Amino acid sequence: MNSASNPETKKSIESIRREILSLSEKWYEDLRQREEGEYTVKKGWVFLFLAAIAYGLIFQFSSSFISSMLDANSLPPPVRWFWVYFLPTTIGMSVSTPIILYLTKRIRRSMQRTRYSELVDALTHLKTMREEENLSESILRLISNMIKILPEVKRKKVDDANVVAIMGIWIAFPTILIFIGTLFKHIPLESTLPYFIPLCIVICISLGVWLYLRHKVMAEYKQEVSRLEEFHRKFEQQKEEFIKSL
Amino acid sequence: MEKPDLYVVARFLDILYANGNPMRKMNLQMLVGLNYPRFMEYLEWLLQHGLVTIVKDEEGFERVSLSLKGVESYHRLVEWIRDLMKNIRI
Repeated sequence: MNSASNPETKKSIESIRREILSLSEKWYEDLRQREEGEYTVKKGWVFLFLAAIAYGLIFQFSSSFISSMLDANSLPPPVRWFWVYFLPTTIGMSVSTPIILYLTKRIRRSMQRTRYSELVDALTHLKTMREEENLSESILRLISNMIKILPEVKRKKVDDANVVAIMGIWIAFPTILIFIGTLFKHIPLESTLPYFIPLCIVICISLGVWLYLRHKVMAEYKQEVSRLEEFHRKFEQQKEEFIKSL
Repeated sequence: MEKPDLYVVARFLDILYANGNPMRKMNLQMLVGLNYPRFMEYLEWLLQHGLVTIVKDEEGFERVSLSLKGVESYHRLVEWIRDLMKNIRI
């Protein structure tokens, strides 16, 4: 070791270097968990899809049982509505929702995969080069990359608004349908009017929920971006100051 | 040199610190990965700012090592990097 360095300084440097490596390890874990989290969301949708089918089948069998017990013309309105509208709607939405989400997420992911994986690759590289010399430079470059890439990673949160809105439609539509069906029990099933009323209500509610969530998420995103911009500005300034201080 | 690149300066400090013993110029140049004129510019800059010292070994080769100021600067550099990392939220 350099003859000029004293043991206290060396000890301190080594401890900071270890701390830097453990921080980078934490970053790596966070990103890895984020990636795994996306797989979990995917698995969640598959589960939801299967649950919806199971739910529909159970209802179908229970309805058949009720129908056989009661005369078809005297079935209570909720059961009639369930039989005619609720079940097909539930199945239709449970099939279409995951497909739409899968396609939209896939498009978004394919657009972001390269840049997002840049960070994971850089951190993986850092994990494997522990004993190599240029740790500071690698970390500085990584920080610089992070500042550039993090806004894109954060933008993924905007997708959450869409997911919640579709979930909202999925839950609200059959619920309102059966509720309106109970209110309009005197209207014959052949009439399309009671079907369109809940449809319009659900579209309005979902649109409202989606716009509200989108607004909230976008506001949060803009805040994050401005925070990162400020961090970037400070980072560049501190780099200049550091060089001047040498 | 008017404005050195901090990343390159950090590379010099990293290598010289990790290597420990005074290094031959050629070895240092290979590790920092700069062409000779550029390497000499940076070395001059580091010498001017008292971050490195050059001594001749028994064979007459010039060897570069971190000065006390160089080690302290490296200490400040890693401290600053650690603080930066603590302030970034993923």
